[in-house]
Amino acid sequence: MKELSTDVVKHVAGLARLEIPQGEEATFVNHMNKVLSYVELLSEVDTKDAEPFFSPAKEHLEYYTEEFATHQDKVRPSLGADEVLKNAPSKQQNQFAVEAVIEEN
Amino acid sequence: MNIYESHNLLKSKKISATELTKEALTKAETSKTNAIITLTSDLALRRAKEADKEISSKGPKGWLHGVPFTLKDLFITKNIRTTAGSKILFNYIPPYEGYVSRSLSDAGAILIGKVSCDEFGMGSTNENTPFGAVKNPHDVNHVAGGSSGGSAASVAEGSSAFSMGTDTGGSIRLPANFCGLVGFKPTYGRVSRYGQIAYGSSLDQAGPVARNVLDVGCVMEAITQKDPLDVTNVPNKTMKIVGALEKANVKDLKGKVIAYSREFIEACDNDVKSSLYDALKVFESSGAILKETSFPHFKYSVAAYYLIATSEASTNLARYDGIHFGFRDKSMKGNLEQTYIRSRTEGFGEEVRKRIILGTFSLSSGYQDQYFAKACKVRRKIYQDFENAFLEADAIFSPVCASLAFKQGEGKQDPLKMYMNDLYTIPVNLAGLPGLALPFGKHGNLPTGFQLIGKSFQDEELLKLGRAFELASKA
Amino acid sequence: MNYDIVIGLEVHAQLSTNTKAWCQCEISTNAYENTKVCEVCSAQPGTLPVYNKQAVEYAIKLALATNSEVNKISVFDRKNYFYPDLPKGYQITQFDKPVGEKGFLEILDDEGNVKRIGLQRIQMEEDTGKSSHQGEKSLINLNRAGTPLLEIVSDPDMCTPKEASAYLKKLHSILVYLGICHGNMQDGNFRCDVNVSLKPKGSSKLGTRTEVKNVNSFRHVEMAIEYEVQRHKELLDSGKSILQQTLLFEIETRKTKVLRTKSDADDYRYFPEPDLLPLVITQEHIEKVRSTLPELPDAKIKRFMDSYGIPLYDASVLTSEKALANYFEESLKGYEGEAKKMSNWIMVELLRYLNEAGTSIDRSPVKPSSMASLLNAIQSGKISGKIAKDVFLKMFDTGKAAEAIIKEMGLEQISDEKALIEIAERIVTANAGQVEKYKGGNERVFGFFVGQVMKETNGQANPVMTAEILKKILGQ
Repeated sequence: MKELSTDVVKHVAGLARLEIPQGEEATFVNHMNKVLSYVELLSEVDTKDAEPFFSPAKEHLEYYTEEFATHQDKVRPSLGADEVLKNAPSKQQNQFAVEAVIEEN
Repeated sequence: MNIYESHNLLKSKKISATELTKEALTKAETSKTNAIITLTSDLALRRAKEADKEISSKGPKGWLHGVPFTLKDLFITKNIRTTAGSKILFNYIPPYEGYVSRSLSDAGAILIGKVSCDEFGMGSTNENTPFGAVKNPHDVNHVAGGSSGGSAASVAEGSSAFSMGTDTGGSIRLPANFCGLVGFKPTYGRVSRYGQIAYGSSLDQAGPVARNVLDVGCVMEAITQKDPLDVTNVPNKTMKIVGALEKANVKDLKGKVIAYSREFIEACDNDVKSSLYDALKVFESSGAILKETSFPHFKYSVAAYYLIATSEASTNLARYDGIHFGFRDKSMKGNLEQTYIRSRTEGFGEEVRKRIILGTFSLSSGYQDQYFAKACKVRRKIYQDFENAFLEADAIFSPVCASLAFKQGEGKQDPLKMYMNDLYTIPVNLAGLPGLALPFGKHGNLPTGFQLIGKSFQDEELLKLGRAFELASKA
Repeated sequence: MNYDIVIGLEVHAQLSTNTKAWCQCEISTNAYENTKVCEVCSAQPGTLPVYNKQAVEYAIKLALATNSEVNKISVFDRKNYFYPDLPKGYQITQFDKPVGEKGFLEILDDEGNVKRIGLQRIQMEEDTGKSSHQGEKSLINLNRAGTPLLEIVSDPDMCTPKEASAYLKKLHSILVYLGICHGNMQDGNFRCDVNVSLKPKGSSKLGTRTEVKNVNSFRHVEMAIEYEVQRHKELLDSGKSILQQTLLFEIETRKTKVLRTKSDADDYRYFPEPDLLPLVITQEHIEKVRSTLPELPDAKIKRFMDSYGIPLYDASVLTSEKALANYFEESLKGYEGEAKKMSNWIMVELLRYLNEAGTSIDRSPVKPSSMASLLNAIQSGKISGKIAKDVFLKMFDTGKAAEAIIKEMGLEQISDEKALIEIAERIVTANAGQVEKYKGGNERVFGFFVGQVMKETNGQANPVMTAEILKKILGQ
């Protein structure tokens, strides 16, 4: 496969809201390409007839019943704002605070 | 200190929970392994006192009542700091209780502390953490293994009778193997993941590290009630196994078909190899039938695993964004995007960042088919290798790791080579099967052992086999 | 140049369950900030989602009510993006296998003909929290986070702003009929994203589309589309191209403004949610849900036309809201006349006054039974149609019953023959000159006598009887 460029790696890091520290780009891109060239191994496997396997639980649906897969529509107490916010790096008026103006989504 | 014997001593009032707890705390405080991140001495002593009161009036309510244990710091403990071995959760105090912590506390076990791990479970040496590497109690120049290194070290050094670890690609079995302990990864879905900080959701499974199979059974009975808060947790599968383990006998091995791949054994270092062949001999001489089997797709498991685990991790770890909890870099006020980037880049360690970026790439548009989706299809092939083997076998025998416990720092040099150490444990997670690491012999100071793999949801059968082997190896 | 307009709509409907999608926190729009939040909906580490059973039922209901196919295996996926009101860093939604697909619903187009609008998909997902500005800061309230939503995506089948709003009204009424969404647009229970594009008339090649986000009234949807169509036209006519953009509709200026231009940076990395099992929906389950479906607008329209003999237009208006349809049927219960007359009164008078008063049918001061007595009074000749309008107004203002007002105001029509003869004779006698004219062949004078009788009786004389009596007297 074609090697990934620094730009692609940076773009992907950006999608994950991560930055590759300055001066480490080359090492990092090199690492990525090493891993990707290793996983290239997978292309040897003929998977034409293979359904993707996403989770062991999904292979054993016979063990699960709908009763346990969903919750009843009955209200349970919430935590309370103090508990919800107790680990917030910044809070104000019982809300999470961010020092930036964000557009309402 | 083991569970079963401690229980009997508590029951016959030959020892108190407070004494056991004090002994564990002393060991923890004088530990040379760096296993513990947060010691919960006051709480432990208080609970031990309560346990003693209850035991003196009604006797122990179960196997774990009054027995000291530790929890990997990926398990949520309400109001007790839970770090995931990461700077990003350095001061995180959970506002809720996780399943494992709650059920062990309900069983009356005494929490000694929260133990170290590779950050978010990502590593096999327990060196990827800002809390410092965990050392192997058998030889402190070597690693305890990872990612549940703190769990294995704390049990091996005696600061707990057992510890709960998590296993995404071998993270319970590898450190158990390096520290001469039994490590059990149950079938995916046997133990609720609610309150277990996620790494790879379709691979993660909690399980005990303990001194013997009987003790593993004692723990499993306490942590396998159906938890409605995890839909992938199977209903009606609460384990009742200790009785069967007590009755287990060497003769149980007779006629059991044990599949293995000679190729896998041959690929191991010599010291490991000889121990593996010796273990096979124990099976054989006890009447088990050894059957050479091939697993043609196992060689792809590391590649498939690294794509799947990192893909899942890349989204599981998106919640650590510096907004709602955890570390926030406050240098970029006014800029939300930079706040995200700085907080995450600063808060996560290098290995975690690498894996998140790999996983993000593997899921990204234009690449997903080639990476994540392809890996999931190969995962099917690996699953089918197991299915085929189990057509004719009761269990599969395999190495846990090709080498003895690594030297400290050894893994830093070639990360890809480090990933390869999980070759034998990873297929079990990919298929969601139960895997039991058993100690067997030593080379110098360092323990050796092997792994038995069972059929889906037949964890009980696997534990019985393991127990029978323990008896056979002592006979 | 002439263009075809292509409109597609995406609706987000909040389900009216008691609890959230993944946890059992109460759904409440007016609770204090972050008091309806737990570890799950604040995405604390280690938490897992468990889907709301009732929300599944609701999703199946909507799928059935919109002629959609219900997928027997329905899968949840993660849609990954960072936003402070999305604490998990991903939204759980459905990508490959949504709960419902390939449905349709019927609307009346601008000419009043029935038109079918395709429903591409109905997918289960979750709402985000809310953020608000506070000076240089943004504050985040997670009370809304994790509220179950259905996203309903139409085919691009609509061609005019009116069709778009007709579709929305229909979908809205179905959701409310089913009792699965409060449908309060001001509270954001029902939100709409509008996709608009233009293509040269008759061309099959779709133009570049723009998306107007979160429009929250039917009228605004029409206005936003009108504005976008005009804007596209002008750009295309002057040879410029349309940028694929996401826009907001500003109510004050009645214009759209750019929120962001779509780019390759949008990469949501969808993949199956490993923390949830696929929803397995059996035929048996589907049939069970089907048996609980109420009568839906289309069926009601047909029934109203068949059993009450009212035209399609009336039936469509009267069934547009469940409460209105109930009102109509309730009012017919004590009424002896033609249903069409009741339909007219409700559509013309009642709806107008309700609209003016800014209130809704279920808060109408005139109860259905009063409506029936009012129309009965007209039917029996007790009051005239003209006077009935005054009576109705009084009923609306006071909430009193028709009979009481008629009595109070002394409005009862005089149908007492003896009394009318007496009045008529008196008037004829007093106006000998006019009688001469009439007898001389001036028929128009007849109106004068009718007017005098009415004047004498404050308009309460029964007009038919008055005419008959006058003819008799004058003919002698």
